[in-house]
Amino acid sequence: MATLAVLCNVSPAHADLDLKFSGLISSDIRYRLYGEPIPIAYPSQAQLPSHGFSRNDNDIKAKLTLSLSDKVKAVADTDLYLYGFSDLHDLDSTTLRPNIDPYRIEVNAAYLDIYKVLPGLDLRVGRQVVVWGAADQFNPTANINTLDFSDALLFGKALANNMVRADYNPKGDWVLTAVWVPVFRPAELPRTAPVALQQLDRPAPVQEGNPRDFFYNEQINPALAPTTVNVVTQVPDVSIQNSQLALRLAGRVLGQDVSLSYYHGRFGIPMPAQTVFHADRTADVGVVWPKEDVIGGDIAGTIERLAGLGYWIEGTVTFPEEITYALYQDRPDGKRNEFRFDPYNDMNVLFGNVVDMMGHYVSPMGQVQDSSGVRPTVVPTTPFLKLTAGADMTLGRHVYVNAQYVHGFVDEFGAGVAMHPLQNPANNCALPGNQVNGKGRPGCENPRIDQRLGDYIVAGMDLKLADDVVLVRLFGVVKLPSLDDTWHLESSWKPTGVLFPQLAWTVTDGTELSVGAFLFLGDRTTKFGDPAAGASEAFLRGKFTY
Amino acid sequence: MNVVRSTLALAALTACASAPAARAAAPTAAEILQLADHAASDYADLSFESKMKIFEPGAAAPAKEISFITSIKGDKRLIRFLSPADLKGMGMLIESRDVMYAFLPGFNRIRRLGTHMKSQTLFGSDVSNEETSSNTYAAVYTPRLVGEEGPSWVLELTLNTEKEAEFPKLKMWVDKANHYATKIESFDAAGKGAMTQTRLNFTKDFGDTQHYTPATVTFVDHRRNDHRTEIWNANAKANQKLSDDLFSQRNLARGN
Repeated sequence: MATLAVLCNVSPAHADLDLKFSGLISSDIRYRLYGEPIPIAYPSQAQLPSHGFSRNDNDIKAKLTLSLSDKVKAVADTDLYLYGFSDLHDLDSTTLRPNIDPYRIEVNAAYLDIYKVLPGLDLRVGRQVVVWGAADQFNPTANINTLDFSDALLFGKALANNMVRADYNPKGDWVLTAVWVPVFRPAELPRTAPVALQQLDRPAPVQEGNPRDFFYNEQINPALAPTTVNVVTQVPDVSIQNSQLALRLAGRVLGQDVSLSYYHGRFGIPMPAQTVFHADRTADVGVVWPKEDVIGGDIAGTIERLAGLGYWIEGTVTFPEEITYALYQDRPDGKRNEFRFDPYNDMNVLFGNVVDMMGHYVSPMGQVQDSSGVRPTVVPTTPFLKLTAGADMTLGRHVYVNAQYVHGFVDEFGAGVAMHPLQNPANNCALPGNQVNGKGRPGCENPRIDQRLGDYIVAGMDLKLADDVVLVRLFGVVKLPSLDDTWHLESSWKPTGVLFPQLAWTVTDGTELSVGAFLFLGDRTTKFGDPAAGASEAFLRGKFTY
Repeated sequence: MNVVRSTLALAALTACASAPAARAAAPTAAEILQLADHAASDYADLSFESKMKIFEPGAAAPAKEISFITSIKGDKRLIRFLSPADLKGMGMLIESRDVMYAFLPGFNRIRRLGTHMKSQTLFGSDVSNEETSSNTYAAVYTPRLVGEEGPSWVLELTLNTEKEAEFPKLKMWVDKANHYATKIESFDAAGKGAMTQTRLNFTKDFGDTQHYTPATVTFVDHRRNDHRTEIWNANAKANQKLSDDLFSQRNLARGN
């Protein structure tokens, strides 16, 4: 890209071509603290031990912006990341530079803007990020791009995707935006995420109690439990039916910024929808990306009577596609048993549903027949609310504070309940060794269940010192007990949260050094103490922006 | 709106000036402030390039330099930052004293700023967001003529009730000849001198205009041990028929 910039600078194709080149060079060293060891495959040296180096990145970012008068702009934005770990499996790999020094390239933008295609109408075509919403980082209306969860410190960063965006300004401050995304791109999950499906002490995310207990007893029974769990992704077909659409109308009413939006597409994080227990004691878990229709709105402004307090409220109602859970077990005759449940008898298990290799339900005589019973629910069709409401304020010349209430974290989806892993899997009440007369012995542990959509306070402050040269930042998240009339799970609340202290020093223009930590707090059964969420890290970073 | 208001005020002043009885009378404090506001905003639109130099107390060399382009039309201002690199691409849209937006290129989003941000300074300088949001005073302050010093009238401005501003009291030197405010002292609630602003070397803008832009504006913050910020303005162009679309959030999000 630098070469391109130089070439363009020397001999522009158009006399009025304006070229801008910018970027950054950074180094990011992380040390993992008190995590649950998780082996990862690539690069082979980059492991997630209980403690040790977890990241050793260098980033070389280049951004090129080309403008042609006031009519057209083209933007390319690329990061070259050097992992800083080698990927050596054998002697041969030591002869290959890609193994000695692995890298990856991330393209954050590659789009073309055409302004005033028609009066008041702008177009943007290509790889881009569309950010909607008035809240800070927790934007329930921002569904067009999925999120990059690969790095907790990049929290809220969206993954760019190819799309067509049209902005129409009919009058005054009002803008109508339409976005079409031809091909869905799933969210990038943290390296620790597969643990959520591979650790067998976690119940399946099934809403009905009896099926959940039935599945759980199958998966933790030492005589039946799989020795290996493979996760199979059922990615949506690339088709016009699976493209995403979004609309937003934004403007100002009585001095407040307001918007209404609609999104039709999929949620970026996959949900388990089926498990097949094989005869060789392996299990395949299939995951899908649920469809959703989301109606949202936001308002933001300032309250003069409260010393100019800035505020924002952003909320959505999501109408999800129903996701059910299928559990199959291989039979010696090549067919599979499917465990379904009786909706008229407290969802007790029904045996006798046999599926042949063609996918038909068949009788013991091999005749095709209807299935009996139903599959349990992972995501019900019940509409659910996500909400972020917050405010910010400056105190004097040096202090900035920001606080938000969040109902429904960015990774939470669907009405109902969520299941958590055990604090001590060996103490599982469902294990035969921990049972007395068919019941868990005193002191044994059952999986904790709480509301799927949690309630959180996200708050923090910046302290600017030495003419803004030094920034002391402390942000944190605390999960609140959820109040509800349906599940009454307040008593199952356990303290959990995140702390993000940081000290940043602007050494000189465009040059910053920072140290800090991202600390997950809570025991293993909690949202942020769950090993699948990641582990605490301390970091040292240097950045030069050009 | 300010332009319209100022034009009406000027028309009223002109009418007064043509009356024989009024011709000899010295202008009142309110009239002087209207003249100063009019002089400062006597354009349909304006754009200029600036370099802000931030000095530590007593230092001869700036600790930081920030360059930016400002465009103004009516009450609206658009500021686009050009350097240093970590600010490049950032923009601010000021629609009025109470409505401000920032474009944050790192997050690729526009954020509305609460008016509590008005009293905050720009990037460690001595220039507050409020200072960048307006260059007229009559709507917010009540003036009192307290004297004359050389070529200038000296006004004392008191913040109107139910109006909010960083400083409750100002002292303003207005040049009798061209009506530009050349010096402004700001006082805190206790009446203690907080800031001194000096405007020098007024230079006629390019374009069909009679407006002059100060080539140098110096802010000295006495609360910070005389911490100093100089803004060097250049290439001011007035009445270029800037489009209203330039001052929209949509344009702000387009970046530099």
